[in-house]
Amino acid sequence: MSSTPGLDVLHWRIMRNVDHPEAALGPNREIREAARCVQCGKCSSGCPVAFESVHTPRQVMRFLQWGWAQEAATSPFVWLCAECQACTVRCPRGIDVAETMLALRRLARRKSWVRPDHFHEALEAMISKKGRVEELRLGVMAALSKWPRHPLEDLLLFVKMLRRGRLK
Amino acid sequence: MKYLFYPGCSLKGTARDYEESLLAVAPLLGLELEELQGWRCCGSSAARSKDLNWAYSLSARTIATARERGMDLLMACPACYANHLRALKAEQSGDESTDLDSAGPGPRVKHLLEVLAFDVGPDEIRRRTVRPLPGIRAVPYYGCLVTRPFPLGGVESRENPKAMEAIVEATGAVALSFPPKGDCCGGALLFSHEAVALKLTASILEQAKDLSADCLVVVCPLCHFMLDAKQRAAEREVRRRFGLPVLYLTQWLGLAMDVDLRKLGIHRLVTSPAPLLHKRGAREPLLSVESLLGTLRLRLRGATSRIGRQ
Amino acid sequence: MEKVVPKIGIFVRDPGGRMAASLDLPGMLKRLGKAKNVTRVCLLADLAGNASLSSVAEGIRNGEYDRVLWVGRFNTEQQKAVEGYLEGFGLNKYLHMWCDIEEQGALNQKVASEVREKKALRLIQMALARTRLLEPLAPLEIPAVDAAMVVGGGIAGLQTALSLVELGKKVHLVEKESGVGGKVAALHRFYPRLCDPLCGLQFVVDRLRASDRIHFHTLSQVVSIDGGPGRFQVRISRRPRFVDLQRCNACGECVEACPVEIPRTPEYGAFGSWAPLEGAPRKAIGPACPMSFPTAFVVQREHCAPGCKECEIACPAGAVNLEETATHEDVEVGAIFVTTGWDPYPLSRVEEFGYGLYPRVLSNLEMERLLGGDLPPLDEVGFIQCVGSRDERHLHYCSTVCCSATLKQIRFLKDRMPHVRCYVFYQDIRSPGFQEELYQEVKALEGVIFVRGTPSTVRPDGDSGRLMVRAEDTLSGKEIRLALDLLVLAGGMVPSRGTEELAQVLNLPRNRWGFFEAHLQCHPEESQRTGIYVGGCSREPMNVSQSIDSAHRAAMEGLAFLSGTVLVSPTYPLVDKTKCDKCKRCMEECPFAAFHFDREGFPEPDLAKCRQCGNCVGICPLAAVSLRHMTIKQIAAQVQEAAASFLPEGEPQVLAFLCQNDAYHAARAAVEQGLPVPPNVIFVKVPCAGYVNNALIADALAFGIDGVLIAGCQDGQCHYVTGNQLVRKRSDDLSDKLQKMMIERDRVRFVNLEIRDSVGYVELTRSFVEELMAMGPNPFKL
Repeated sequence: MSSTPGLDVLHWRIMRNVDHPEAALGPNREIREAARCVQCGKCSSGCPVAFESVHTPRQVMRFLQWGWAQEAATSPFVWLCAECQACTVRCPRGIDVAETMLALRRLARRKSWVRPDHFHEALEAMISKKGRVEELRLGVMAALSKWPRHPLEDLLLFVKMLRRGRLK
Repeated sequence: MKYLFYPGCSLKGTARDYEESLLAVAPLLGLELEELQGWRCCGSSAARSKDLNWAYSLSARTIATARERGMDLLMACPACYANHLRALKAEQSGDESTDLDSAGPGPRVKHLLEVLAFDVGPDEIRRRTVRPLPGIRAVPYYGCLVTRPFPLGGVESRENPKAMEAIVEATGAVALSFPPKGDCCGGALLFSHEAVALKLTASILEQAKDLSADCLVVVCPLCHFMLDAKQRAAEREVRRRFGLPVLYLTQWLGLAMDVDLRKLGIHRLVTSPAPLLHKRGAREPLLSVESLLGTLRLRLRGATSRIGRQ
Repeated sequence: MEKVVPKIGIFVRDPGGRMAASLDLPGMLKRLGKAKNVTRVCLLADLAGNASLSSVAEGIRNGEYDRVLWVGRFNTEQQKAVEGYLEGFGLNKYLHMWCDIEEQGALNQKVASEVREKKALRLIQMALARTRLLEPLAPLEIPAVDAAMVVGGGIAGLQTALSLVELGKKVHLVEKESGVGGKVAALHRFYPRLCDPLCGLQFVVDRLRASDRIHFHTLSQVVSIDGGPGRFQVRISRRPRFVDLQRCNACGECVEACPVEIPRTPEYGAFGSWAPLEGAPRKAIGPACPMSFPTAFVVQREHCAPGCKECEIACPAGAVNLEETATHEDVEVGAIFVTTGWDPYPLSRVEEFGYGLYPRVLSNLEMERLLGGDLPPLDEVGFIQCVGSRDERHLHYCSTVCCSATLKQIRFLKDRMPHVRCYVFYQDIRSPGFQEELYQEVKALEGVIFVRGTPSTVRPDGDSGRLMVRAEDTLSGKEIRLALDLLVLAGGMVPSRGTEELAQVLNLPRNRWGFFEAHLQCHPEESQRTGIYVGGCSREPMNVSQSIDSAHRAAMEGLAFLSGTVLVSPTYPLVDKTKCDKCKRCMEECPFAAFHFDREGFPEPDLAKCRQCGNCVGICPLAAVSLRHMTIKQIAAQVQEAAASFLPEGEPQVLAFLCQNDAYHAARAAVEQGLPVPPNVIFVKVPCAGYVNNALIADALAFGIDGVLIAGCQDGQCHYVTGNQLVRKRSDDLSDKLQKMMIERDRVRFVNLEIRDSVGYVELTRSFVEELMAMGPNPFKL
């Protein structure tokens, strides 16, 4: 995914809902669950990547409470979520926060607010067409598509894995 | 105890040693594993990021087959395990947002750790331990998906599970108390946000190192990849040497049951297990040039232990 | 008993000629005069002044009629005055029938005059039908004991006892522990005046001790209960104290002699109850806990060394008796007050905060005790609010006191250690009313930081013993990482174990959180068992001043059963034993568990427990239960009269049963507001929608009524708890019955109405009438 897909919309200073045509949240249950969130911040507190991007998971839930589905779905946080479930397991309102992030990814894809990059397209194709993931190919594509790169380190690891028979 | 074994993509690739060690120790623990023919990828997190129905459909076939065969499913990879459990629950709850139809009482989907801790049990493991590992300080590292969101075996704590500790202690070793045992290793972010992923991996290694651990024991192929194969990269990220061997729980059990090291895939580990084997008292010669070099490197840097941050 | 032939006098009062304007009054009176059992019909000029009334009285005196039907609008004061006056002439108060035809829309000039006439007559005929079957009744006096029992000797129990004792009632106070005081005795201070709780407790205790009407039963529990309000028979079991209450003077010689030291546990002290964390070691014998009242010591026998008798030997007063056994006592009381209080929620269940794992993570109760003793060196102290409360994984509700408790603790901590930094992690700060001042005061203290954001995990900071806490400061969106010397979890309240145990013994319903169910606003301290009152935290989490309020209120409410006699209105249920087949449905469905078995195994209501809602009448599948003065025969007779047609051909006739608490008022208001209420509806007022027996509905339809409407209160608002729902439950039985009768199921409708919803009443009656018109007439119509 593009590394900063939501950056443009982050420049708004004033919260206005008139400018946002996506005010309706739609039928997605996870997105509607956000209404029950009390903004306690426990999700952010336990999240390993909460402070690695501009938004915390709680802030994303807040966007949903305002009905700003696009801001939420294109927030860099949504693509940074590691699905570790630490948030879900601690939410006092019983909201499946991790699933909400995934639901937002799905929404973004459905509405074409983001486009998957080559790596993810290839991964999905591999899963649906081949039914198995070939890690060798995947690893190579990842190495080529990711940023930043450590070519020497990657090459060394590649060789080590190959020698240990862990790449097919 | 017979199980339908669903390996998943990693166990056939980068986590080959996990499968090897599992197949080596399973018969010794009374587990009969039949690999599911024609299994398909569970979709990992990629499928669920795209389309929920697609994701469920990927697991549906496996579940249906197990149901037909009347067998419980055994999975080693927590992501595959969680995905299948989700699909099963969605099916049984009659979730209207999915295309799944409940076709009757489901097969049970079990993770290997659950089977080892509850079906086999620490007492049995103690009985089968022929070469205990006394004084070895092992860090039981669970990672995310085996503890959350589904409590292991339906009963374990999701904040403070003790299943692996019980098993490690049954083999005579010291299971260190490790509060970050359920913290995320960052594996899911490896391909999209490597720096962040390595930061998380490094944090776990650091905290283990601070406890003077001899090794980490894991049950997830992705965690293993990060902690073992990517240990050097993690070291680079935080500028600290670790040199901590990372073993699969099955490899660990293999050591305790004195299984041939090659059969356990020990030679496939990237981060040299030499210090651990040395402490255990390895009788076999060192296995590869890398291991030899690795041990030398570690000895030179005096990084076999580094206590605390004080 | 010979059958009484009723003689009815009908008196119509029409001030201002409203009835005469809409109806052919003389014609109607003539027709009424010919009705069965009617011996006199009269249009009264005026009821003011005794002229008219004395003419009515004359008829009673000379035996012309033995009961009276009044037609017209009479307000409550007039009714009472009339009943009182005529009672003097020998007319029992229950032999009056009051019929207001106006409230049923009979005077509505927008309706065709023919319909109006017929309807008015119909209404009076209905009233007549019931009047014929009236019986003279008198209120009962059930002898009652003027002693009360209070279960639970915490602040609420002590206050209840005090309120009752000061009103001259005898009180049995039953307390599980060896001493009174409850959880308040474990507190360091309480707000708002930040006084020492022992002072407050001592104040109450001193006044109690001064009275000779109170009997303390410590180390005691209620094991069984029999009887009913006014005369409950309660059995109390008492664990041995091993020390004579009269002889012990708390000199302490035994404590010195005792060789056994009891290890302290952080939550509960040595005696399974509250004791200071620090201080002299507790021995197996010692003062009562939590408060040393009664003053006699107590022995914890399970800690004694085998064969040891040091305390018995050492006691100069010979007060120790190690051979004492458990006993029980039976007491009779008029009312029972339950004040069993709360327990702290086990915080180890909120695993993410490491309570029980790390010694420096404390509960707020433990912090109270720490503040009362020596404080360790502290620099950074954290408080996490809402731990376990407001959490779907634990307690869904707010525990009310924790925010103020934390604020109070910070005040005291800062007083003792001005340099300490305090962090409060909160979701909302709830310090209502005048406690806002406490909040503002604490907020402004130096070194106190409020973080709106809850941490997710607590980790040990290396080997230092300190705790690492990470949170999002939601107000700034920034990450907070703190190393704390002490972490206090503001844990919540759950009903005490005593509450659970007592609920079983007393068969007291509890709400979904396990607290005793009370009918809030209407009767906050009254439980669903007449004569049993609940107060304090056993009802819901509350602070000390609220507990005291609640306790006092419970005492006042319960006085009704402590005055020597219980007055019971004579309109209680009667079971027709010739019809009853002992199916026990009435016993099971009674919302107040008022029925018990009589000697022959028939259900019999305890007249003091019964609240006369009539749900038993409704539930009986054989229609064997009646309420006196509103017997099923009386209502059935009304139903039969109502079936006679008063509408033109093709117009459906509707009989409505309206609950007198809500639906009836809505219907009345609709007429008074001049709304277009369809004239097709005739209603019968019932005490509760649950009164309506299926037999009455079946009758109505069998007699040709096109549609039956039953209107009760909204769910959750029924004064008799579930009356409105019980009626819906029975609709399954009804469907079968209707099917056998080959009548459309939709001819019977159950609705909920609120008291002012006159518009709703009009809408639903209109739509019902329309649907019935579409369905066509009742096939049973003659």
